[in-house]
Amino acid sequence: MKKIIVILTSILIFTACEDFLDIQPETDFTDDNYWTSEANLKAFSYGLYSVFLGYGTGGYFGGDHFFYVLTDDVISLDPRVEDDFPTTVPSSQSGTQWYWSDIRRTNVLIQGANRADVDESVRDKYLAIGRLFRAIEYWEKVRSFGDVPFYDEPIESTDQEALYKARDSRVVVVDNIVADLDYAIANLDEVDDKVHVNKWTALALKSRICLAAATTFEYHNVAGSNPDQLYQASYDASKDLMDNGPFSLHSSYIELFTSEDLSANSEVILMKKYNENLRHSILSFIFHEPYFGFTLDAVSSFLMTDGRPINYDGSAHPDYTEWIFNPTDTIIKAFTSYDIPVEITANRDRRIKDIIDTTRVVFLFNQGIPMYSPAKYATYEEIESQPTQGVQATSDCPVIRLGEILLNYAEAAFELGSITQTDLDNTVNLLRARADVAPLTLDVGFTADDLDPTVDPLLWEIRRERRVELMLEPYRKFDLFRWKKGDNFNRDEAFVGIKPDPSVIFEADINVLLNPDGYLYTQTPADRRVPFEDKMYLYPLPADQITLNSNLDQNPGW
Amino acid sequence: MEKKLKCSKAVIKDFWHSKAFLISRISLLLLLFGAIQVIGQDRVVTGKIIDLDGAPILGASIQIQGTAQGTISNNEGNFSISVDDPNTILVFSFVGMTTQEIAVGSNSVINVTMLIDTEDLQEVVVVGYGTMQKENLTGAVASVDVPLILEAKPIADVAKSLQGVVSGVTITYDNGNLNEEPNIKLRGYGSVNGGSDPLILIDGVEGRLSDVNPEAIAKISVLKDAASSSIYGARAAFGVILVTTKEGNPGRTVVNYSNNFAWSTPIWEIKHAHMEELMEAIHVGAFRNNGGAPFAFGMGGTDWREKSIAWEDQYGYLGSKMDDETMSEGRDFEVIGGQFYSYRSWDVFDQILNDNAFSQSQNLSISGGSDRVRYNLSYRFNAKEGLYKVNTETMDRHNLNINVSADLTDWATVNFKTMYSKKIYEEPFNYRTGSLGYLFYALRWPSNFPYGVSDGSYYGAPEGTSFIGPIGFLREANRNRLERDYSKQTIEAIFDVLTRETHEIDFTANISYAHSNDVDHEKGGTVPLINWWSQGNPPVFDPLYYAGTSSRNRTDYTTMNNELYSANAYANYTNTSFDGHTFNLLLGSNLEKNEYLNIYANRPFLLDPNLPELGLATGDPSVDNSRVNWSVLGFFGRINYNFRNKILLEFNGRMDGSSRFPAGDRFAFFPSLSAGYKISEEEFAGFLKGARINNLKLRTSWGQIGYQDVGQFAFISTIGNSTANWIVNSARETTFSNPTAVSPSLTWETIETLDFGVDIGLFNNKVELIFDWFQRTNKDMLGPGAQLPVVLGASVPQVNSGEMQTKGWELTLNVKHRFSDDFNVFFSGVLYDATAEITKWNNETGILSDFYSGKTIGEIWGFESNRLFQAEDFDGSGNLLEGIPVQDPNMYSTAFNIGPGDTKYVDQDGDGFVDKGAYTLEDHGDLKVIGNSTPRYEYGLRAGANYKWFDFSIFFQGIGKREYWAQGNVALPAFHYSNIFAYQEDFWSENNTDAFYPRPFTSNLSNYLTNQRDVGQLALNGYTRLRGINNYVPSSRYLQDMTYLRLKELTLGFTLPTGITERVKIQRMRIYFSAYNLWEHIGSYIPVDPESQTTSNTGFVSYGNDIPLSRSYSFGLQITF
Repeated sequence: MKKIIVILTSILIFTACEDFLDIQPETDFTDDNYWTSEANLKAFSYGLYSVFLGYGTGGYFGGDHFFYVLTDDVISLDPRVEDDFPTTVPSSQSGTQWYWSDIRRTNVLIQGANRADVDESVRDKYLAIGRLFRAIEYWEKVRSFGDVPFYDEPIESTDQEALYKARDSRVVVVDNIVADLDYAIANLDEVDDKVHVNKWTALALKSRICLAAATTFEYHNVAGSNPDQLYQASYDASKDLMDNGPFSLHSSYIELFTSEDLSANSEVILMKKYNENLRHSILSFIFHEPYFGFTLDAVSSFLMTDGRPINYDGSAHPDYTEWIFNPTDTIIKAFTSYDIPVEITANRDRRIKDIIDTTRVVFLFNQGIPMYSPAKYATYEEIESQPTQGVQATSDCPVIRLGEILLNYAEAAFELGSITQTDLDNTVNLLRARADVAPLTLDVGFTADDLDPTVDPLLWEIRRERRVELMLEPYRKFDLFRWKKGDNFNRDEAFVGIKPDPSVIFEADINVLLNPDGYLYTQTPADRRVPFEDKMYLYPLPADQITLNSNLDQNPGW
Repeated sequence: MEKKLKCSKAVIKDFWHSKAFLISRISLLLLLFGAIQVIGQDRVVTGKIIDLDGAPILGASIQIQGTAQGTISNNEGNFSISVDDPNTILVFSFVGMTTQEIAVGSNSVINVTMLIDTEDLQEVVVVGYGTMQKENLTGAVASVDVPLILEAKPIADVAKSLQGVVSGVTITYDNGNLNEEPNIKLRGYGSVNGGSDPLILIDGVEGRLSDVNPEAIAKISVLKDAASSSIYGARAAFGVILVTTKEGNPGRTVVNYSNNFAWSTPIWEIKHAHMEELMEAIHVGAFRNNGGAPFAFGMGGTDWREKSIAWEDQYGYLGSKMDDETMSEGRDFEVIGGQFYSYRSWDVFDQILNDNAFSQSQNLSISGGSDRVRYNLSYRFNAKEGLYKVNTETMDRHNLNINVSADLTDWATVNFKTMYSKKIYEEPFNYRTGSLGYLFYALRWPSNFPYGVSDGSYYGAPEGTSFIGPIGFLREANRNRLERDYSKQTIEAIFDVLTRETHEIDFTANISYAHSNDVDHEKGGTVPLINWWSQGNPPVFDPLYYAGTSSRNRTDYTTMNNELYSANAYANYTNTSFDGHTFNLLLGSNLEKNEYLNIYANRPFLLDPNLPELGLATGDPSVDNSRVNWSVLGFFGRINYNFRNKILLEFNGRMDGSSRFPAGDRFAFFPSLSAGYKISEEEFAGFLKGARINNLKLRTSWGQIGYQDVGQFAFISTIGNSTANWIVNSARETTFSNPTAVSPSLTWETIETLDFGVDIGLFNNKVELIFDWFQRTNKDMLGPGAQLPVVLGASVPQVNSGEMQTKGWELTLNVKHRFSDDFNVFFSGVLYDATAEITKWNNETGILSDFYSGKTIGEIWGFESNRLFQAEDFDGSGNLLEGIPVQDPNMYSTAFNIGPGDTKYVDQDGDGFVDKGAYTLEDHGDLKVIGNSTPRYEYGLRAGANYKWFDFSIFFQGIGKREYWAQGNVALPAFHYSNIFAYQEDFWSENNTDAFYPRPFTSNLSNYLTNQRDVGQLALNGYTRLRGINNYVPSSRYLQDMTYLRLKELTLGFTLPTGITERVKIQRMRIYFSAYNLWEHIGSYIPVDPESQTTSNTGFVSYGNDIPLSRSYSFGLQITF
């Protein structure tokens, strides 16, 4: 009896098995149990959409901005512009574009779609989504750094070969990008709900990326590249989208940027939706924290309604009146605005009123430098009523719109050497018509004073159209990069604001500098202005990454 | 040869023995009362009492058994006593000696040689899965004198009572909140991961000390080194605290009742500065900041300054001449041009804190039993009030313990133990967030904010309505309620499998189930207040203030449910068949499974602030849950070998498995060894006796234990959910993160401890000295992996790459002496120290903000500062004179222009420029280590005496060395908010150049600014509000000295003479007075309790803002029937 009890008890207690220690997380998925259904693949894919920043949540320091605040269009006094526009080699990766978690995420989705037990059509759709986002992510890497290592699967932390490999040629990477885009175009549906990527999104991105890659390869003479093939790919993608897609230009330019709901807007291909659950700060950024303003160069680029620039054939346009800032009050160092007379917009491309706030001048904080202040993204009523401060606005953001595709088409057609008047009429002239500007003809018919002599006059006007139509959207900086027009950043016009009446006395403690034509420098050469150098076409790689991986070389000039 | 290692049954027996001994001593004492009058009898017996060395013993007691008659030996050890019956038995006793009973028979001379009583050494100590005689311990094990530490105290909290009692155990509380849980550390820091906390076992089951009734505790042991704790495996890496509850004894039923009534008062009350100094400081500060006068909520300007000063001139410092809280318009405040201005100054701490918080406890226990069944029941009720004057915290606790033990047969015993506790804690809802409570608000604003109430004559506010402010919120807040239920049941069976003379086998099996359920109900809501915060607008009465704020007007429920299953089975074999050699073998297994579930529900916008329930709110609800489950499985063994009580050897091993590790890496074997050598038992060591050393034992131990507290699923690649920045319909879509990267080689941290100890007993163990030195190395500490190229796209997984070493020593000294049976004294002291150093860590850049190889835990990097800048340091245009090192203006903000009165730092490297360099180990500019925040040289000293019916004891506790870099207004004037306190009035000005504090610089621009432009200017430089910090870069000048010496406890007791108590059938009755935290000496120059400022609440602004610790005065009664 005694022994039996003892033995039974011991058996009972000593016979715990290994399973006893098997405990899996219950309130988190694991890599082993996540990849099971279409719903999970879909949920995972929403994380990838963050690449479409939308209007962002940035303020005058920190945060994300929809557009770059240092181009020849706008100038910022924010010293943090360094993040977008590095001038020195960063010591570490943190805060630079050399981050790789988003690329890993695309490869994780691709791997997960292959692992998941789902219908083939579902699997192909999420492979396509993974590859589409991988194409976007890699293009952003290529345009910033040139050659980059290409990975088509998530790397293990022990995979020495992959971790320490050398960069792949950007030509090869772009081939992979095009293959990913083609796969996406072939496998995504055509449902146009504007908030999910689809075949049209993939075509639009192919139009954008192939044109950008082609011009980069052409103007920077990238060895081993075939720009024409890429121009053609861009052209074909744009044409497919224009001919077969359900999109057309919206009648109002400003409504594209001020609507609470863009879901019915025929021009929008992909939008980022905002509401009370997700807000942005673009109104606050423009009105409450105007750390940037338009340059004289940007304001001068708008055409007159007859399709001619404000200065051509060596003299000023007869309808154009130069505006000289002559405030009636004493200038004080404060957050104050002054009226701009309406003459500046008379007989001009109407987009000037949509983009630039012609009712006031902004004083960059505490610097006393009057700049043309921005208006795009706000209705006139909103400007009047002073938009709410902070991350409050809920207007939808057009992430990809037909307007850009038309411009891609025209540029690719020109570069292919096959451009016709019909091409212009179907693209640039549709945009001009919306802006009340006379159409562009194959023979431009004048010599613009601002014409860059190395650029064909027709291409110049196509590029001008692109600049104006897409002003304050996230294109101008990398357009200048791909055209190899970094010198534009150094031109005087890109650094001056308005022209003050010489009789105006500025406060003595402000270091006012005028250019020879009497315009105020917004950034004084001795102060913040960093001259653009050729090496800046490619960002520097973070120094610590080169130290870690001896196969990684630094971009030239850094 | 009674050196046995026994299981729980032995605990009962030994406990019984010690209890019986105690009772016999008490009865002896009682007998003595009656022995004063010895009446002459038939026959006189004489004799001499000597010790082993032949020395006479003075004051030995000689009693006639069964009577109250007796006598005491004289200077020569001689005695004489009258006896009337040859059957008389004489009882000879003397402290420290074995009591002897000798029948008189026909003898008229009885000479007695008293033997040393080794009772103190034979004290039984609870160790892992068994007990051991103290004299045979080889590991570092401390046992607590439970009656002395825990019985009849005003604090009713086990951990608080243990503070400073056991060498090597550090116990701290972050603040004086009633519900605050202790931080317990054994032998200092051991790992940068997890808490590196000791394992607390209550009757063998992991639990919290706060769930235990202190009056129900029989024994507490602390296992400090690896050798003694390794048998508990992976959770015992940083030691074990073993708590054993009381069990019943056969015999008469004993009923104990005790109570305690205590009154508490805050130790610290911070006084705001005098109005004149306050106004001067914030005006100077604001002027330096933005060139203007300070403004807060629109109040400001020189009028506000002058009227506030005039108010204080008339009505006294902090309104000392005012005795009501009613704000009178015109006198105490004005509205000018629509703007509210408040002039009246308040003693805000005094308004908030109560000097007279009451608490009480009632304890009842019944124990007894027959030969076969023994029981102990105990119940306690404890109710406490917090220190707020209104709407204060309250905590009610009920504890119930039932322990029953039954002998089923002569070889089988069954024990049943149950423990239940209920805690109900209420506190006012906190309208601030996080750790910033009501006192934070009180310290944030100057004393002339409107802390009072309306007289009913303005803004439509009813009489008694508060203005917005901490006191208003406190008065009106709903009460949060936290309820905790804890219960634990254990069933244990003990079998004597084999009982031979020289072989014994015991087998023990037990299973336990412990369950806790916490329900935390936060009750926000609206408050009726006078809103004066709207700058430029007159105040308005708002009956529903915060109506639209979802973070305040809300209700939250959090329930936390924890279930712990555990089972142990172990067999114990003893062999004494070889002459002089004793072997013990223990083999067993342990398994535990823990399941934790947390459910959270929140809903904003209450329909009725008095009904804060989820269904009665209108906002969007939010819910979440989490689960934490783990299990461990271990097989353990222990071998003890004892050679003639001289040489003691012990080997422990445990094969331990944990669910926190990957399948292949789940089990590990952790061995430990210890040895003891009792030199005093050797014949050659006779000289020791001559030196009055009766015990000398050398001990050493070495062992390794795994540490599993490295994160729940560190080895599994998890995919967490998050909310995408993308909307498809209306809500943001749910998405999931990248799977985490996991190191395939991740495993346990291995804690290796080496310990050398010596135990010395002097003068028959009247003096006992225990010393230990230890070195604990965390050999595979989890740390960052080596840096990998970021193309990985994931965080580099953690690996076992770090190493940390803790070294320290511990000293315990116990002295007791009995002058006579009526008068004895004792003293006990502990002193201990430990420091920890990181010996290996992946930190390629050597950045000082991370760990690095060679970093001492707790070190503080800062500047040395010897003085303030003076006008003579500058030239006419405000530039520093040649030869005076320039201070980097980029320490915090370029907008700070150093001038006279600012803090001057020492140029350590002599390069003429004071800066932080790259803040790395290689390039740290002029920084150096200026202090260390680890508590050092902790000590506790207890002394006491019994004289006749009186007993007295006193306990001091303290810390010998500790520094802290504290931030926030309480530590550094106007550090973050524009306010200063009475002890901060010594700030620099042209008339006070020899000041301690720098020239004021108000730092909070969000409330004190003149116009928006300044925000912009600061923003341009990337800083919003912190320029004044330039004076408060960590420096030796304003470093806090955290040392203290505190009179923790003073007790005075009176036991009623037996003659009185016997008449009412009471065995014993004692009344006592006990005071807690009665006095202290602190090293700091600011009135903040160095004891309460430990780890968590020392953040950016909250230093010194917590509810202070309190002094308590209590009375109580103990009765035994």
